Amino acid sequence: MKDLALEVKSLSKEFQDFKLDNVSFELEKGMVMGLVGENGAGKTTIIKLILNAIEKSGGEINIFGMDNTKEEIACKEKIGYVADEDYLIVTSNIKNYAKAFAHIYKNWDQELFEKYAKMWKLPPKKKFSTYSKGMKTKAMLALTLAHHPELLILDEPTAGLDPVARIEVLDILRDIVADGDKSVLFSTHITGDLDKIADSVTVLIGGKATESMPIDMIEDKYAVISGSLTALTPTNTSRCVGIRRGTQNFEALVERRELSHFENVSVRTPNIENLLTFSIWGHREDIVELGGENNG
Amino acid sequence: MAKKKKEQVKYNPSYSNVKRTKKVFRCLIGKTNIVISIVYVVMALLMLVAAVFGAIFDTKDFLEDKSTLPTFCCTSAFMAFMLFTLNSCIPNDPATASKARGNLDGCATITETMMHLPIRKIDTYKLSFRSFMIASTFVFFSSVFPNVMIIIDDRFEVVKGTLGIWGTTAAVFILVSYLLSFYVIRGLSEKARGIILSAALIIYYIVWIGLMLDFADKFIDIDMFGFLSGYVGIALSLICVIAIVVIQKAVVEKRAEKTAWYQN
Repeated sequence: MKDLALEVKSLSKEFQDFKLDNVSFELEKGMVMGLVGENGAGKTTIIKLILNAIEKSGGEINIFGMDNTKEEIACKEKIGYVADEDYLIVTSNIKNYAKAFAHIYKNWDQELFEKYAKMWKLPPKKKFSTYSKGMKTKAMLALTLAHHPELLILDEPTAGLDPVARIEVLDILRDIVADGDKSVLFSTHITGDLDKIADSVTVLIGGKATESMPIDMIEDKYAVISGSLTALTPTNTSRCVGIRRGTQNFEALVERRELSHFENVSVRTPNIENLLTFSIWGHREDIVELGGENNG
Repeated sequence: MAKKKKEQVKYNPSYSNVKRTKKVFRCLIGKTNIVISIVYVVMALLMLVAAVFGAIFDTKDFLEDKSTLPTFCCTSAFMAFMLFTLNSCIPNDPATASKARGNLDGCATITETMMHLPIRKIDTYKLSFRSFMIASTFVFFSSVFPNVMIIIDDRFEVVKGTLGIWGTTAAVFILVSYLLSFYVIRGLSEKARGIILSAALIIYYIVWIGLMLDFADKFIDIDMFGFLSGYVGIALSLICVIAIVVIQKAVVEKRAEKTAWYQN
């Protein structure tokens, strides 16, 4: 039996203009899962449902085997959350927050918090309004990590950061996940952030989870093919997950078992970005014009 | 001599959920709101004490100056309103919450921070309700006290009409504030909610100014409202308090227990 940190079963949520449709995935203990999808695909909705911020229309969410709504406090004790937009009150400071967290978390580690605050140069008494975006993200990370969460939920933590701050935050995240004792759900549309971090990935397209698999399996299951447009026929086109067409050439994501249907194409191994982008293009049934020959 | 190091805050398992939530809330909002709250409470108490002493020991002056009673009542209401907004942590919808993040100096809606912590929504409702009841007590006392005076002292007969209007306005204001702030009335947008609350507050002040400046005398027969004072006035206040407590316990808290943070 799998030891699960997070189990999402047939999760649904209906809004007036958007529907999260029957999403299921599992995150094993100690693993890092990338939750990827374009903006508006439903990533933040899933996270809000996990945190019981909004009510689900159907399905089930279990955190370390506990129902996230019935045992909300016990679940949230184990969760560390870093948001895309900071949740910090701009007129408050990190010292006040640390005090509040010490009241509420059984495992609060003041020494660890002070270590992070010092290491990342976070002034304890300065108002958050004086912090840069990168500093706010680091502040949220310091507060989150100091209560020793077993499940980290990162909702686009690098969104809106300048390149230097983004690299710094990613380095911090890599250090955190390196030990392998924390389970991480990392929501992002910047798939490059997941390189060297994620063990598995769940792809969300238009509110549906089109794929949820270990990273290793992406290359086992899929291939990116490219070649002249003449290699595409009505029959083999329908076998593609997604196609990107140029004036003369194309590039497509196909399942490896379908490769025999394509002739005169070059084959390469896909990465997370390929899986996401081709899935989106396939979903849109769109033709994307290639900028030139070199379409890597 | 080296400064004695402050003892580190630690998780206290003996705290109730509400007490723990209150501690978190107090830490997060910092000292400004606490200081402002204390100042308001002290000012409101001083106003009440001064009015009570004035009414008892200097009854003639108290009754002759028409502005004394409305001022006493309305200042209490103002204190009450501020105290509640400063100490409220009722979850709002995400859009409002994100706006309120930077609005702490005026209103302590800190849902987004609280939402992901090991805190239950119902405890924030309980905490806010306490604050609402403390605030409402000032308002209700401001109408109950003169009503008691009317019953025990015949000289207060002259303010019966004023008090009748005042007591009814206060009861309606408190009830409307409660029904809207605690999402008893559902289906309203945040904008509509804000407009109705502001309108209630404006009407409240118009009544105050009208009563104070003899304005109302010109348009309405104030004495006609005399029957709403005395025992009726006290009963009205009591019914209002009881109704609020019953709705809170039977409907609002039960609903808050079952619903997600941003779902009302």
